[in-house]
Amino acid sequence: MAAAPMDPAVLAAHFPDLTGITYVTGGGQKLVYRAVHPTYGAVALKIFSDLADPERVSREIEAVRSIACPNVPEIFAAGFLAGAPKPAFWIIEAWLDGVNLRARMAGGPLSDKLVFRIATDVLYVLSEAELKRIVHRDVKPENVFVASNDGKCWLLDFGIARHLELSTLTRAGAGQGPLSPGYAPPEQIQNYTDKIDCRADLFALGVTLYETLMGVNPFVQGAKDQAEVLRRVMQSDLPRPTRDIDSNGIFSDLVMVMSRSRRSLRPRTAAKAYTWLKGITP
Amino acid sequence: MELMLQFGWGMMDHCRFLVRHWGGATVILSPRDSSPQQLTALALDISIAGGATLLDPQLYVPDCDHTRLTAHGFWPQVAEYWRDPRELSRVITELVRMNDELGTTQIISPAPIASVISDDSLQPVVAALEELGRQGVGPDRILATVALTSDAVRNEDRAEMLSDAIESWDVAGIYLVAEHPSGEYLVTDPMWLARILDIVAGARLVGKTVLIGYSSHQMLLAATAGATAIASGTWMNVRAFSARRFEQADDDDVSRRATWYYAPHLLSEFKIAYLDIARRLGRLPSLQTPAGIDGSFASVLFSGTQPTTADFGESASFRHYLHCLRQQVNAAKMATFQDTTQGHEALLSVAEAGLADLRRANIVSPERGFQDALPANRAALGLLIATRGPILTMEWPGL
Repeated sequence: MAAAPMDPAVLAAHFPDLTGITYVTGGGQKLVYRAVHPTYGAVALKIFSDLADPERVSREIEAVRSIACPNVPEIFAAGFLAGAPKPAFWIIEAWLDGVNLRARMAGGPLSDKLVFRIATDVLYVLSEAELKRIVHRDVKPENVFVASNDGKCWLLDFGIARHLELSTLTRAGAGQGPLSPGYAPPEQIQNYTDKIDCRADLFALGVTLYETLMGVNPFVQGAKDQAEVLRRVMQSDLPRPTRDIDSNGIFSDLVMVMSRSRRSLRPRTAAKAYTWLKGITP
Repeated sequence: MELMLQFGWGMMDHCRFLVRHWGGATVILSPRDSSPQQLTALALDISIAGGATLLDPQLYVPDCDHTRLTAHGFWPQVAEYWRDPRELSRVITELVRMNDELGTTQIISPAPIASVISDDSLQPVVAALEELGRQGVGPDRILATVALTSDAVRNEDRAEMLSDAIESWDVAGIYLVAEHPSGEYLVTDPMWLARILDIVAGARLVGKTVLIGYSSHQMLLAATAGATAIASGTWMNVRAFSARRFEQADDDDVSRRATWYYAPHLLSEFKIAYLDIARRLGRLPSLQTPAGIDGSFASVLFSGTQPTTADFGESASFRHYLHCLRQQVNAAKMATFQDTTQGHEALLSVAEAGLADLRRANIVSPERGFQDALPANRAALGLLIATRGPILTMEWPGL
């Protein structure tokens, strides 16, 4: 259940640098406000609910700061709100003008140019994250943000990201870890934590790109419940997209390969997939 | 792709000759077929001839009764040596010492044959690799043995487990030996071939070299998956792997002697009597080895005399086979994945057309003709292209 928005006047007392604090949206884990900062201009103030695991929040902040990539919103400040109404973590990050990919897709088919831009920007983030040994683990249309002016994309929400050098917050084999059904690969569904690396993100991006090309996610479409979605992911591969955005069909080959159910059939690294993509002329 | 010589019974002279003739090659030594003294002498000869050696420890059946094999110093005293740290240490110490003495280029780590791919069956490989590490052998010097029964090869459900394992091993490459289904010499099971290609491609794509042991010319197909090398030899038992061969000493290694002529462009071997028929029908030129491949070892068969009366014996037959195969292996892997697959498809098409033409004249080779293997090679190649084609296309320059 979404937490109730906090009174902007209360927040203004805690954040004297911010002006024009306005509630924008909220989910189970955090509330988002828009504000203006004297140095950074428009910013997003995110207040995490008490449902958010402090360890995960600090790992998210650490992950974003460590990747330091132009396609991940920059975190300007972060801290802990000790006052009313409840203690909570907060972050102030760059404000983005646009909509998430889910909303963008709802507006109609995406152009070849935008599909390629999404692939380029998100793969760039994943290849940068890979250098820092970070796996996002939740790539999906809701977490890809598309700028309204030039189509630049950001990858959002590193809330369940994992640093491969750090111990997992989810016990291996302990049932299911955090995941988004229809986008999480088999190794994440089975919670094989030692097998989750950048190839898990490549799978999820492959499914996301398939959806941007074809307008549907075949793992999800028509499934009667979540269990069926997971079963489909475990038992089948996505077909090769029938829509090509380059004359040789290499982009669709890449999408097909990234979304392979067998981890060993995907590109071994995000950097390899990114190199592959850079060789394509849409 | 490179051809290595898989040492077998009676191959000493052939190895010495061919390594000299080729100006170098790698010979995989066989403890089953050689005493320690013979291994040392052969390794020295090969080195002098400009070649290199590897040692196949042949620990496929650790509790075997093969007297020559078990007489080697590295042979374990207990069947499950990998579960006994002291015995494992002794086995590996002896193997490293033996490799050092022989001057091998890399160390092939031992492994028993696995009838199913599982954590348990891969444990001997892991234990041996860990022990090699403890003894200071660097990863670049190690080839990990992957020895599989035909059922283990065919089991697609365990494919990912093997891929994960190979990726996780800190080794330069793998030495893949796999039993053929139903004891076939030329495999007609497309799934077995497809799985071999998948294992090879999977290992290559994670940066490991792949040497396929005990191979026939059918493994020219492995070039399409980027295999680094295949190894072949004289008799059929070093061209098709069988763990039974390592269980007990047998006397029938050479009991089914027949002289065969390999027609490389037909991917088939023929008994010489069929060459007589071909000569009488004026079809002998169809069987003649193309000039670019020929090493003149079989020229006498095409010199005008009746082939069965020509001086073409076992020795020439083996050298002809291995020389032709080497030429084919050298040419099998091309600059791109597409060129390589098209090259193999062309090889199959030429063989198919040639065999069909000869069949119309009743010139056949039921035992070693490639006609029944053609569909299996094609199906396996088709699956490789469908599953790994795009990624092999991209990664080919680095393979």
